[in-house]
Amino acid sequence: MEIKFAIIGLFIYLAMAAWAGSFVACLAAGRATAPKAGRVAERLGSAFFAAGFAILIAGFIYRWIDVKHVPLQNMFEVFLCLGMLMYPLVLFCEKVLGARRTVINVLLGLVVLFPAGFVFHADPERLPPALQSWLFLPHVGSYMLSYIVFALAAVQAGLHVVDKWSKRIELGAASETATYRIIRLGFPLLTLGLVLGALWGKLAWGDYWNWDPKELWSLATFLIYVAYLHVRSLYGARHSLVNAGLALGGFACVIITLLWVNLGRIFSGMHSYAS
Amino acid sequence: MSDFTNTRIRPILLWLTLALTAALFGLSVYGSCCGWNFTVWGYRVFPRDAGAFFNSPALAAFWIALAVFLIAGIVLSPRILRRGPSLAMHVGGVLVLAGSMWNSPTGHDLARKWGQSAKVPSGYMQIGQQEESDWVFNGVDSDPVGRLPFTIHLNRFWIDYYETAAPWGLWAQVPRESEGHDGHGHAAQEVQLAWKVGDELLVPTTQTRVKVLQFIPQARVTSFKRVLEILPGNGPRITLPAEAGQSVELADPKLTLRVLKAYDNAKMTKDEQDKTTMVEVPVSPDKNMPVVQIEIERDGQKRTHWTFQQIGTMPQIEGLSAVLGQVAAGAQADPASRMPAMQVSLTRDNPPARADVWLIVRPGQLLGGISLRNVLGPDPGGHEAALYLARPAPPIQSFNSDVDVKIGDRNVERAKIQVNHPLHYGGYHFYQNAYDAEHGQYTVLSVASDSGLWMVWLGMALVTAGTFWFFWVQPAIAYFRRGEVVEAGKAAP
Repeated sequence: MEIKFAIIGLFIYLAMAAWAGSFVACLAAGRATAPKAGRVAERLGSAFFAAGFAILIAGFIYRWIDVKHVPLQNMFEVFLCLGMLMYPLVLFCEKVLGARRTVINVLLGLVVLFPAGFVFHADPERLPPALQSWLFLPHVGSYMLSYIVFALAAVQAGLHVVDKWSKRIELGAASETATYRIIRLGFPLLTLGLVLGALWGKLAWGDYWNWDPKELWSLATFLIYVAYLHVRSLYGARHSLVNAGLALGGFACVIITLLWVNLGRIFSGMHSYAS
Repeated sequence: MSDFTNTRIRPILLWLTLALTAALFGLSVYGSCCGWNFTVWGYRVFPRDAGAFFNSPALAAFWIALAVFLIAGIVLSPRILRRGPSLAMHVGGVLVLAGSMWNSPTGHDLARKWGQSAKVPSGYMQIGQQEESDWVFNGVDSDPVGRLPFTIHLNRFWIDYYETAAPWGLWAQVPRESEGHDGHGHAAQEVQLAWKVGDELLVPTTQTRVKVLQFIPQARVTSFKRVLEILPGNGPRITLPAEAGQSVELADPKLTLRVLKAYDNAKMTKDEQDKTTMVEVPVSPDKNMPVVQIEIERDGQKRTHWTFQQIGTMPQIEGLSAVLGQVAAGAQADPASRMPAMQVSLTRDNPPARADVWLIVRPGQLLGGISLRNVLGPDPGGHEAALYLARPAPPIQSFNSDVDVKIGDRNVERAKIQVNHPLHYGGYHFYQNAYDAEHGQYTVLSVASDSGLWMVWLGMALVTAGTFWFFWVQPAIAYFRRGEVVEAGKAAP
């Protein structure tokens, strides 16, 4: 654990403070007895959430200029990017895909930013030869987008499970539908990331598939969402708990692919430079 | 389609395919643990190598079954056949499987057996600078797996480093003061010397004084002196000026080495007894072959040998290797150069010895220096020490192999191979894989056949395009037409 006294640390801590404020404001909005107070708190929560995003955009651009390459090389930069993507994707899922508004999304953003702020080293590094490719941004970028999308889908799937147990039928149906729509959004991005990774592997390492642990867990993640989409296509929402289980299992695979494979000493592979 | 197909065959096929897909999920998780040293009752739970596991005969049957069920599912499913994006996704998956099987080592073996192709599936080539090869090996320099129908000639290998602002330091490698003699197996330490042009410093633990005469931050070497680099079987490297009359006595092996002749350029010829010998020829502006003739006196017997650059002494001497090299004899400032040069004066009083030498760092190297023993002779205290210019290693920017593809004597293609920029020629890809980390004299290229690759890329393109169209474009079109979000693959209400 470390506190970053560099400028990039300031960006992250300010964004975390904004999102902590958003979390508190949204909680207050949910518990407010007066409607007007509730609306004010809700707007304050939205404003803080947007402010955090603006700070992270600035931080990402600052980092890009500082390291002179797309800042997606190490875990610090990856989590900075993930944090930055939270707000626009939450907004899209809520406004367009009908996802339920929930304070858990803000909490998720705080959880994502925490390792960037306090765990991972932020020392700037030069790009090694293997990462000097035009595929760097599209491959990693599409995966980062898909990971946040699947995280939001997992939140909706979790809400559905809670609603189902609480017998809140309408809310449960809405969150089940939202889960499906969000996974529909993320699955092409996951596919694109996988395909671009294969193309890059061929250019850099000589083979489009090396049976690397990262690649195998990426494939496992892909397959679990394939299973979700097939089951959803065949049975719709009739077995909604199965659907939710697959969505949550898929997100568990995302976490393993992103964190365990990169950081765990038990996995050795060609993606080790991301550790 | 008949009711029987609809009600019996199709559901079974669907569930079998999904079951195989689920099995693939399990195999992926299992495969990620390959290499774990975990045993139960003495048996490894996880295979050592994931690649070997997934290409094993059992898994080959799995891949074939998966492809067959996918094809059958596509053919028997009107829902897939009628929808372009859905068809693209599933057909793409089949193409990826088929192309991968074609590109696999087993696929190449079958193609060879059926007389379709004699391509090498994959391997490595280790090629020295100014050398060429058409052999492909399994692993670096181990069993050969085949020959290419053309040769790869390595013109040059080099490494580019990122710019660094770290300054060059003058360092001495000397024995640790409490440990006594430095030599094989004895402790040494690196000491940075606080140098300034004109100041004289004592090299720690030795009697040698070093005075920096000049330092050129960006330098080009203007002249060289030839030296003989001698590496006894047991003992440190010895550098001897490659001039007629120079000699050295070695303890292990016990022999005397004398330089008889030194030519800047020579050619091979036959003497009166029809034995191969070298004769001096005029120095050429293009390419020269410098050579020295040395005499080895051992156990009262004398033998002569010719010694060349890079390949050393011919014939080989037992217990000894000697190669013709060169050291800088002069340098000047050059703004185009990124490498420094430092001229130092080395002095010792007992026995008296003095020499002016240049420390240079060659392009692509991180340090450059000299052994005090090679310049001033053995230290009276028996201490071995070295002086060198060095700075913290900057990160590597790129590895570069400049190669020619040759058919016979004809150059048919020239390329610079870097990571992410392979050479594609004659049905093969060539990748920068490794290099000679110590001297930078050879490169290691990995070689991969491109058989079936087009099928893999086509399949991946279809899967990607179909996925985006099915899950993004169609719903977006429906959304903008009706203003409502609809499920993928369904018409808007």
